[in-house]
Amino acid sequence: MSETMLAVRRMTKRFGGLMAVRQVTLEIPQGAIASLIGPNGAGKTTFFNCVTGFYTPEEGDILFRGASIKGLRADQIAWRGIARTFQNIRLFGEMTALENILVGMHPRLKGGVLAALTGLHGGEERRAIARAMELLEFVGLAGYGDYPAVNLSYGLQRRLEIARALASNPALLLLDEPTAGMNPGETDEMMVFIRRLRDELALTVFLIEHDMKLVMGVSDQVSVMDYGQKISEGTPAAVQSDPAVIEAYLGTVSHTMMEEFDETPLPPEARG
Amino acid sequence: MSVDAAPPVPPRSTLSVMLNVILNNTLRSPLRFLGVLFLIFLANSAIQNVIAGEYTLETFISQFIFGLSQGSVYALIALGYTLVYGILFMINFAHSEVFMAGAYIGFFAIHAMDESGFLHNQTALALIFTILVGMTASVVIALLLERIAYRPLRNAPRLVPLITAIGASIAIQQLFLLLFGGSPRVYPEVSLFILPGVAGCELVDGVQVCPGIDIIDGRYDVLLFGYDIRIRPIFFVVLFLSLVLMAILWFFVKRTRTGKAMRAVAEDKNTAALMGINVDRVIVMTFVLGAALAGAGAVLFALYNQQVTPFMGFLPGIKAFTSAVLGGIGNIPGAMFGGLFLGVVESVMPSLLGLPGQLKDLVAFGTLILFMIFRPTGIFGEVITKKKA
Amino acid sequence: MAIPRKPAPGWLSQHTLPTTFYAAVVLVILTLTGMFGNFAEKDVITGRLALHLVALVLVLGVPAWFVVRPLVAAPAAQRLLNGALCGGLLALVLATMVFIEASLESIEGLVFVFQNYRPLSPAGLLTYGFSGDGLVFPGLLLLILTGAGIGALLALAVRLPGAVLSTAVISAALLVVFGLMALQIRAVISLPEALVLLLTLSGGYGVARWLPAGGVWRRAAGGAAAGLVAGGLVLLLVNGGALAPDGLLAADAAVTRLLLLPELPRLMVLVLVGLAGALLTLAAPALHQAGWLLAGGLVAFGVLNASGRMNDVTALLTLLIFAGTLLLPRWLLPAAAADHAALPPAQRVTVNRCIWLGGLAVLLVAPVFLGQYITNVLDLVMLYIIMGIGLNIMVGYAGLLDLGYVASFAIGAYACALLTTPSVITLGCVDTATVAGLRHYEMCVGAIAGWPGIGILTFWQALPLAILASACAGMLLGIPVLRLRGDYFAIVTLGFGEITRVITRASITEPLLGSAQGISPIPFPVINLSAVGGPVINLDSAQTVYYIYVGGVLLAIFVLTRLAGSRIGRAWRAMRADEDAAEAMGVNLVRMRLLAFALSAAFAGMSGAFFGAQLRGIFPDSFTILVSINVLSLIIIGGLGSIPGVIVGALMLVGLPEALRELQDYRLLAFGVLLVVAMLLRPQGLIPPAPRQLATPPAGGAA
Repeated sequence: MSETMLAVRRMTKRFGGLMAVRQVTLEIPQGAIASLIGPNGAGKTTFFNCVTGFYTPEEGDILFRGASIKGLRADQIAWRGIARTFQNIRLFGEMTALENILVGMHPRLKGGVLAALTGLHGGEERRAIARAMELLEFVGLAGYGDYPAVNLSYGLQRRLEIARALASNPALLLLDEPTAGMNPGETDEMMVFIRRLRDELALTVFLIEHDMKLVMGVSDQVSVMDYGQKISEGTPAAVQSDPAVIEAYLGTVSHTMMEEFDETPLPPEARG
Repeated sequence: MSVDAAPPVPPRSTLSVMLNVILNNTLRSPLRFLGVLFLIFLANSAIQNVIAGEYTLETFISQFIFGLSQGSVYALIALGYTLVYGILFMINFAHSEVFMAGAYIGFFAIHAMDESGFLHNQTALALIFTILVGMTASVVIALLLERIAYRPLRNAPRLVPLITAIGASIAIQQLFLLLFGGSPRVYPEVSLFILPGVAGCELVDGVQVCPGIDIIDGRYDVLLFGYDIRIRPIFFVVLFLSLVLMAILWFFVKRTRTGKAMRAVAEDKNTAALMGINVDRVIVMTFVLGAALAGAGAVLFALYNQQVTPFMGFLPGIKAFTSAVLGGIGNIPGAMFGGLFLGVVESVMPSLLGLPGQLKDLVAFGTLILFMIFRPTGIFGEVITKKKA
Repeated sequence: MAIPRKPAPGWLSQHTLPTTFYAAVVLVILTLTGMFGNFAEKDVITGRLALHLVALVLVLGVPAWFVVRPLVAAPAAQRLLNGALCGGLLALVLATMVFIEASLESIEGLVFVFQNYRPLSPAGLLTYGFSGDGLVFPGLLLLILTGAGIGALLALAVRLPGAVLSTAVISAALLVVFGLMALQIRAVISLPEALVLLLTLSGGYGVARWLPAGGVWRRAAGGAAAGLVAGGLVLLLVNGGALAPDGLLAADAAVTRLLLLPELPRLMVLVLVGLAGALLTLAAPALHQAGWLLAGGLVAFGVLNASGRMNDVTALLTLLIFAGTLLLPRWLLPAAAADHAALPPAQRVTVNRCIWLGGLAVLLVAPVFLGQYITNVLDLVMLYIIMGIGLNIMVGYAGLLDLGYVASFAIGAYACALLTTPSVITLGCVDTATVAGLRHYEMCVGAIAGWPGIGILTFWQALPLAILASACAGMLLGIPVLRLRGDYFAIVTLGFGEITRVITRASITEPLLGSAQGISPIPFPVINLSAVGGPVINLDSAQTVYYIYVGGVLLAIFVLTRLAGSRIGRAWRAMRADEDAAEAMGVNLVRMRLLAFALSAAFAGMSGAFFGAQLRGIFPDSFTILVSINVLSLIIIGGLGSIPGVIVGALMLVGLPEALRELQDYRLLAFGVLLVVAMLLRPQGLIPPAPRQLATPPAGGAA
C-alpha cells in the first residue's frame, strides 16, 4: 500500500494529572482497514477525539496526508476529509434521515446566505438530495429518507450515522464502536459493510471495536492500547499472539473474551 | 457513486481566513485581553476618583455594609434558583413572585399586628411571626407552582417549563395586582431595642431611660477607623439572619437524609428513583426550601425597604438569578457567595467609578458579562469539560 | 371544604366535588379582585347584558362543563344531578360571599386588603337587583338556582353534536367580543355594502358549485359571471338612485367605500369577489371555513354599523350570522374538500396560488375597512411577527435561548430615530449649553451651516443603516457569549436586555437618547413618487404604516423559508440538536452562531425602525424585558421554528390582549394563565413545524 493516510507521532493528551493518551505513534496506510482495540478506559476514544479535533493534544503531531492537522478545530478537520461516527449514536434527532445526510454534506456544498435567498443554489441542492438518496440506498435505508432520525430503529440509526459521515466524501472514516449493541447477525453484516466501504468507495477506515470477531475478520492492521499507551501493533494474527496483549486483556476481561479471541477464524490474508 | 480522491478544500477568502483566525483560534485570549484592559481602565478611574478625594473610606464602608445586607437578600433568593436548577435544570422564572408573595402577605400580618398593638408590645415575637407568615406564603405559592406549572412538564423540552414559569410569573403578579391593588403598601415603622444601656441613658420626665440600640429602625453615627459613619443596625440583622438561614440550609443539605436524597436526585433522577427515593417528594422539598428562604428574605428586604408592590420581585429576582449564575448555578455556596458579591459590587462600584447611582444595574450586569468572559461557569461552577463522543 | 376521601355515592361522579372545590377557590379569588363589580360597568348588549353576567356564566359554567363532560355516556339523571350540584354549589359559595358582604357593617376592612373590590350587594349585581334588608334572600336563592340551572343545562347540552356545541360557543364568544368593541368597530363597513359583497361571493360560490361538470376554468368563468351580474345590478341600483339618503343602498357615507367607487373599478372588485367565491369551492377545508367566516364577519360588521350599537336585535342578528357562517360551510365542506383533493396537481398549485393571492389582496385592502383601532392592533401583531421570525432564527434554529432580544429591537429603533430626527446632538449645529432645556429640530434646523449632519436622513435611507447597526451590534454582543452554553447564555442575554433598559433611561445618555422623554417627534416615512410623476404619500397613520409592516412580514417570511431549507438552515438545526456532532460534520459553530446573531438582530432592528416610525416617537418604556418575553412566548406557543406558528402565536398573545383592552388588567392575568395552559396542553406548540419531505418527490403535487 502506498501513501500514508494518517500518521500520529508521539501524541500525548492529559486531563489534569491523568495521561489519557501517552506518547502514541501510529500510522495508517491509504486504503487500509485499521482497528484500535483495548480494554475500557484505555484511551481509544480520547485518541479519536484528538484526531478529529475535539481535543488538542499537548505533545506530538498528527499528520493527515502529510499535513499537520494538530490544533485545528473539528469542523476544519472535517473539511479536510476526515469523517467520524460516535460511540453512542449522535444523530440530529428531529431532522429527517435525508436531512441528516445533507448536514453531513455541509463541507461539500457552497450555498451561503445570499445563495439561499436568491435561490442560486437550487441546482446544487437538487444534486445534493439526489446524492443523499444514493447514500441512503448504499447503507440500506432506501425509503426511510423522510423519517425523523429518532423514529428509526437502533440498527438503522447506526447505518444512518455512517451514511452521514460518508456524505462529506471523506478520505478517512473513523468508526467508534460501529457494532456496539448489535447482535451477531448484525455484526456480520457490519463486517461485510465495512469491507464494502473500503473496496467500493476506496476509503481508509479506522475503527474502535470491542467485538474481536469483527476486528480480527476485517482488519489489515490492529493496534492495541492500554492505560493510554500503545502496547502492540501488527496483523491480527501477530497481535493475537502477543503476550503483552494477552496480559492486558487477562487483567481486565473475562475468559470468555479470550476464548472468543482464540476461536476467531483468521482472515485469509492474515493466515497466508 | 463517484469516488472523489481529492479532499474537499474549503473555499477561503482572505476575509474569512482573517475572521477565522481572529474569532476561532484566538477568540478566548483576545477577549480576555480586552476584558483585562477594561478592568485596568475601571481600576484606573477608580483610583483617580479616590485620589481626587471624591471617594472616601467613609463612603466605602457604609456602602459596603449596605451592599452586604442587600447581597444577603440576593443570596437568600439565589439559593432558591440554584436549588431548583440543581435538581430540575430549569430556570424557575416565577421565583421572584414567590419572593414578592412573601413580602406581601407578610405585610398583612405585620399590619394586623400593628393595628392590634401586638407589634409594639411584643416586637421581637411579632417580627418572627411576620417572617414565618412570609415564609409560609412563599412556600404555598411555590407548592402551587410546582404542582400546576412544572410537574406535568417534567419530561417536556427544556424551553417549555421556562415558558410556563414566565406565564405563572405574570399571572401571579397580575393576580396580586388585581387582588391587593397597585398602590405600594408600606411596612409600619418598628423599633426593637436590644442591649439596654449601650447607647447611654437619659432622663425623660425625671425617669432614667436606657433604650439600647434600635436594631430595626435605628440609625447611629459610629466612629470607625477614625471616620464618623452612619450605620443602620438593620443591615447587620439582615446579614446575620441570612447567614443563619444559609447555615441551616447547608446543614440540611449536607447532613440530613432528605438532603442526601436531594443530592442524589440532582445527580441522576432515574437512578435515585431506583434506589427507593421518592423523587417527587424530594423535588417538592426543594421548592419548599427555596421558597422558605425567599420568603424570609422578602420580609427582611421589606423591613428596611418598607415599600411593597406586586412588581417588587422582578429586579431582586433577576439580580438573584445573576448571583446564582455568578456563583455557578446549581452550586449552593456559589449562590451565597454570588449574592453577597453582587450586592457589594453594585453598591460600592458606581460611586467608586464616579458613575451615577442610576447605573447600578448596569454595573451588576456588566459584572456578570465580565465574569462570563473569564469564568464561563461561574465562581464555584465545575469546569464542564466538553463531553465528547 | 374538604375533599371527601370515602367513596362517593353511586350517582355522584368522583370528579364533581374536587372540580367544584378548585373552581370555588378560583371563584372566591376572582370575586375578591372585584371582577363582578368592575365588569358591571361594561355593556356587552346595551341595557341588556353587562360583562359581569357573562363572567358569572363562565365561572359557573366552565367547571360544570368539566364535571359533566366525562359523564357524557351516563344517564341523563346522573348528568343533571352532577351538573346542577356543581353549578349550584359554586353559586352557593358566591351567594355566601354576597351575604357576608351584605351583613358587614362596613366593607372598609375588606377594601383595605382587596383594593379593587367593588360591593356587590347594594346594587344587587348578582342577585337580580334584589338588595336591601330582607330582600337579599330571594336574590340569593335565585342566584343559587341560576347556578344549578346552568349546570343542568350544560348536562343536557353535553350530548349535542360537537359541531353545534363549538358553533354555539364560538358565536357567543364572537358576540361578546363584538359587543365589547362595538364603539371601536362600528365604522368598519356599511350594511348594504357588506350585503352586496356577501351576495356576490355566495353568487360566485353557488354558480361554480352547481355548474354541471365544472372544471377549474369553468368554475372561474362562472364566478366571474356572477360577479359581473352583481356589478350590473349594483350599477342599475346606483343609477336608479339607491344611494340617495332614502334609497335601498343608502348608508353611512363615512363607511361607504366600495359603492362610491367609479363604475369600472367597482365592477372589477365585484368580479374579483365573484371569482373568490368560485375559488372557495375548491379550497382546502381550513381555507374554506376561514373564507366563510370572513364573509360572515363582514356582514356582522355591517349590521353593527346599521344599528350603531349592540342592541338586542343586533345581538341576535350577530349571533345568527356567526352561527350560520360556522354551520353552513360544514354542509358545503365535504364537496369542496373532495373537489380540492380531486384536482390535478398542476391545477391545485394554481388554485392555491390564486387563493394566496386573494388572501394577500384581502390583507392589503383590510386597513381601508378596519379603521384606526383594529389596524393599530394588526400593526402591532405584524411587528411581533417580524420579531418572532427573527428570534426563531436564534431559538428555533440555532438553539440559542436569547432572553434579551429587546436590546436589538431598541438598537434598531434608536438608530433609526437618531438618523431621521434632527436634533442638537445629531446635527451638531448648536452648542448644547446654549439650548439647555430646548430639544430637537425646531430650534436647530436652519442653523446648519454646510454640514448636513446625520439627523436628516429619510426613513428609507435610515432603515438599512438601522438594520445594519442592529445586526453589527447583535454580532458584537454575541462575541462575549459565543462559548457560553444553555442557561448561562440565557442569563447573559437577559443582562443585555436590562442594560438596554438602564442605558435608555440614564441621565448620562440623555443628550443623545433623551432619557425618559425619548426621541420625538420622529418624522413619518414618506414615499415620494413625484420624480416619476406620482404622488407623495405620507405614511403617517396606522393604516398607512400597515403597508410597511406587511412588506416587513413578507420579507421576513421569505428570508426564513429560504434559509430554513438551505444549507445554512440545516447547519443551524444540526447545531441545535447536537453541537458536537454538527462540528464533526464540518459546521463552523462560531460562524454559524454569529450569522444567527446578526440575522436575528437585523429583523429586530427592522421592527424597531418600523415601530419608531409608527409611533412617531420612541420612549424607554417601550423597551422592557416584556418585549423579549412576549416574543419568546409567542414563538414557543406557536411551535418553535414554524412560521404559521409565529403568526398564530402573535395573534393569540399580542392581538387578542390588544383587542380586548376592555378587560383591562384581567387580560394580562389571562395572558399568564394562557401561557401556562397552552404549554400544559400542547408542549410542542400549536403548530409545530412538519418534517421536511424531501425524499418523496412531490407526487401529490403539494404546493
